[in-house]
Amino acid sequence: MRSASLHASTAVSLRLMFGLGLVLLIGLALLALKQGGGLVAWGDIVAAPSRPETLAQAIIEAIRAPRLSAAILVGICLAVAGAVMQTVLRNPLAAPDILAVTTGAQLALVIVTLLLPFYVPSLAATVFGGVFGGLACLTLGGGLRAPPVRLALAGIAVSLSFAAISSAIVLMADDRASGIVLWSAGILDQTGWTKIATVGPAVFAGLFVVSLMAPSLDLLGLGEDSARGLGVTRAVTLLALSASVVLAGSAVTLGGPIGFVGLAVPNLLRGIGITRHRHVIPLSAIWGAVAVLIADVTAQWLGAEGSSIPTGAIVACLGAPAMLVLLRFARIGQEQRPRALSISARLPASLLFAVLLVASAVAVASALAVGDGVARTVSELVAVFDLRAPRLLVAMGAGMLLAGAGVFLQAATRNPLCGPETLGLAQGAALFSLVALLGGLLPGSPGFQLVAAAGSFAALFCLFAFGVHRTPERLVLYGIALAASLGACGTIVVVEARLQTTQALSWLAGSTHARGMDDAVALLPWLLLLLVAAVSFCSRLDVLVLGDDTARSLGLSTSRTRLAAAACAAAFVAGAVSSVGAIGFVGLLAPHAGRLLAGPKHARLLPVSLVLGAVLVVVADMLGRSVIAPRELPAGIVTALVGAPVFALLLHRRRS
Amino acid sequence: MTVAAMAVDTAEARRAAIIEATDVSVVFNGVAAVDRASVAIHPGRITAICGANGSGKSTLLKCLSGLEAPTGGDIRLAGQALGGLSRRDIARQVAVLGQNPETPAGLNVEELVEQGRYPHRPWLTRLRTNDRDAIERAIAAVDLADMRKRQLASLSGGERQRAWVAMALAQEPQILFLDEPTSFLDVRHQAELLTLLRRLNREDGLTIIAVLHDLNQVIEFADDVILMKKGQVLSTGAPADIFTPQSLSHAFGCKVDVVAHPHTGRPFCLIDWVGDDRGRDRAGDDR
Repeated sequence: MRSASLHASTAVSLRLMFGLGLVLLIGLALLALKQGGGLVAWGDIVAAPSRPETLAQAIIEAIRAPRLSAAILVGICLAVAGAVMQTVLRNPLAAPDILAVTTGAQLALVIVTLLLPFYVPSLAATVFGGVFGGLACLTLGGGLRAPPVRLALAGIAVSLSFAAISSAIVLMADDRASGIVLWSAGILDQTGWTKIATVGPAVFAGLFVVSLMAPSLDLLGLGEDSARGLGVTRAVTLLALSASVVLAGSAVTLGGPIGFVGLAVPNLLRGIGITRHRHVIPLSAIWGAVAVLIADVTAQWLGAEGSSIPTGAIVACLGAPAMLVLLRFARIGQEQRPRALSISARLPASLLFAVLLVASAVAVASALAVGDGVARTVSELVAVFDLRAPRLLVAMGAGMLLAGAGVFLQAATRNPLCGPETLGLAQGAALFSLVALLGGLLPGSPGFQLVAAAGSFAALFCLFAFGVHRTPERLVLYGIALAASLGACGTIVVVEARLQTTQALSWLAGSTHARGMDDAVALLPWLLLLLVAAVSFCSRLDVLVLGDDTARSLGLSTSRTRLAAAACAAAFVAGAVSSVGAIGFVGLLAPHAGRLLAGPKHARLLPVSLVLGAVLVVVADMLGRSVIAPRELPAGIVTALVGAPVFALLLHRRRS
Repeated sequence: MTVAAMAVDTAEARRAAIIEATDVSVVFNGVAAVDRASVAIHPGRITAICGANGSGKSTLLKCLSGLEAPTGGDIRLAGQALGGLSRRDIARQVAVLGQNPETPAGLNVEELVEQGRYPHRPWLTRLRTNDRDAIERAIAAVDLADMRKRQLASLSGGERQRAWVAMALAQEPQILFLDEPTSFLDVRHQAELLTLLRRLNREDGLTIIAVLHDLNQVIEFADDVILMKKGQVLSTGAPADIFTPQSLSHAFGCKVDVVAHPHTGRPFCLIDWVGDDRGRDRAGDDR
């Protein structure tokens, strides 16, 4: 009886989801055609399918209808691709953007558009880039059977580094730093029907293949062994993945890197109990299109006064609330704590000490010597010392704070995917820093730092106030959504307020540009806090990582300790971000690198991670200053460029 | 027995009990996981908690060990109300080994066992000599001295379980709680673990409370049993007294027969696994 009633409720929700989705889709489509300027009347929309007679009808045909089609196609592609990837990899965290397919496609698009002297069809580029990104993620993460969290970790690492390469190329090719905002956020503006005409057939081919495979996908959902027992071969897996990459590549060709739809929509549908793929796939398509349309309508509405807000930024803004609803009210399958928290190894103490000493000496020396031109003599060094020394100190301090925050967060949540940037703390502090900048506060002043701290604590509050942190996957899903939302809000603030983009970019991407001795001094209180917290929390963090019940039976009050550790982390992040902006990768990866060198005990892990974080930011800053001198790459972009390959090596070595 | 004698008897039992729970209830969302359970744990004995899945065994264990606060009732640890003790105070007397606890990657045996000293260490101090001694004794007790530098991930299931026991022993507790300690082990490792626990009980006087599934293990291993069903305590006492075909069949909802063990003469449970217990029918014929 119980199963019968379950069945009935699923049938009801199926019909509801189909009906509601279609109604919303049509309503939003009409709204999208009508919106923007007062030129288009409802009568024009009715008349639109015939040949255009009035200016309004011409606008519909040449601008709004293509944009509408692009929005719908992008939504369909991303959601279906996400649904297929989640099933094939049996990983609820899988999605085109998480598995680096989107960023791979975007990177390829940037390369063929800005670097290659000859023409390459953009769809070919994005599909190739998507395959490359996906393969990089799978290779790093350990193949098709990789555990969910590990694969996502690899994907995030690859994504961050690809995005950084894209940004670097855009910055080098385009003198206007504002270009980076437009390139990296996903824009649906179309110039006529050409792109849709080329991409359309690929989308339909991809959808056709996926719909034929729906029954096999149901079997794959049972697990690889059972699926193979039932006659599903590896070829099916690969075909499904290829189709989903083609879909994701098409989406990037049409609209640039738009995230989240692929992650949220299929998970939401599965959460309300829809599991058969002949339902999941069409429903994903409908609701994916609805999601992107909602974002696009909002973007056009907000941007009505001439500034053009990227649709991708709106999607990302809606990401956190949508994910919150999803996690709060829906069941997400496969909620298993990863058995091994992370990877770990250790070097003998003497060797470890030598490695760290040499690394920091080299980093400091090169940071002082190298910049716009290499200082070879003492007098040259003295000449640039006043410029470079403060930046070196700021970079060291920020690196330590970010790494410390990463260690504290990963221990507090017992989750290897947590870092200031994956939980949104860095983005929160950066967003509030931008607001402080708008409000006329001086960067580095105590007021500015306090506003930044308010930002990271607000993000922390959003994270833990809603009770979604019961399992690690949930926390990270929500954290990534929150990070993207806050980052996108930052982009919107920059676009809407027409902030001087170079200065704003420093907080969006992270940079030590033009930092002086005052900024280094301003970091001191935060570093003092870091020192005190590190000493007093060391042994408690050791106990905390043993798990709640064990930690409590050892006499630790876990919830209080966890909260205190997370609050410390938020404070560290605020200190770092208020001085150098949201430098990514350091807080997430320095603890992992530390664990690989020093093992899991915090008495060793903390100092080693701090040194590694400092070295990473110093080296990144040095490279950013010198590679394309006299111009600069923001240190945040370089940390991703430097950090990702290092992390890849560490992951890879560990596996073999 | 007179009423007065009974009163003296219960007072004596109360003095003797190291943990005494009265009318303990745990209610979440209107459902009672534990329903007015009253039990007394006696020092120096091994107590097993038995019952079907969902009968509230683990929840009762968590309440008795102070990991979870009951929604109603009173629990006293050595005469003091458990709710009034700090987590640290409890941890100095009580150790808990959870069901399949998670191990952080890269931790080795010695480092895990060191964590057991946490409740005894004053804030911000390093390990002292007595801490070191406790760690050494714990490692020696579980016979892992050769493997002290091995990473937990590289150990077998039985060895890893022993490492966790060593961590609990390093806590130097008077009472050790274990939640289904044998569940993930093969028979040999189960036997090794139970032998170890029994030795710790008999030689060091450690009080042990364990949730166990295997009824015959309980008979061999435990001095006292708490039999539970649907959150309520059905009966308590020595296994030989309370393990009857009627009580077990009632508690577990399947046919259980109890015969004399051919070697020891203690009770031995026969479970009707596949619904065709012909031996039992024949026994009925004989009667």
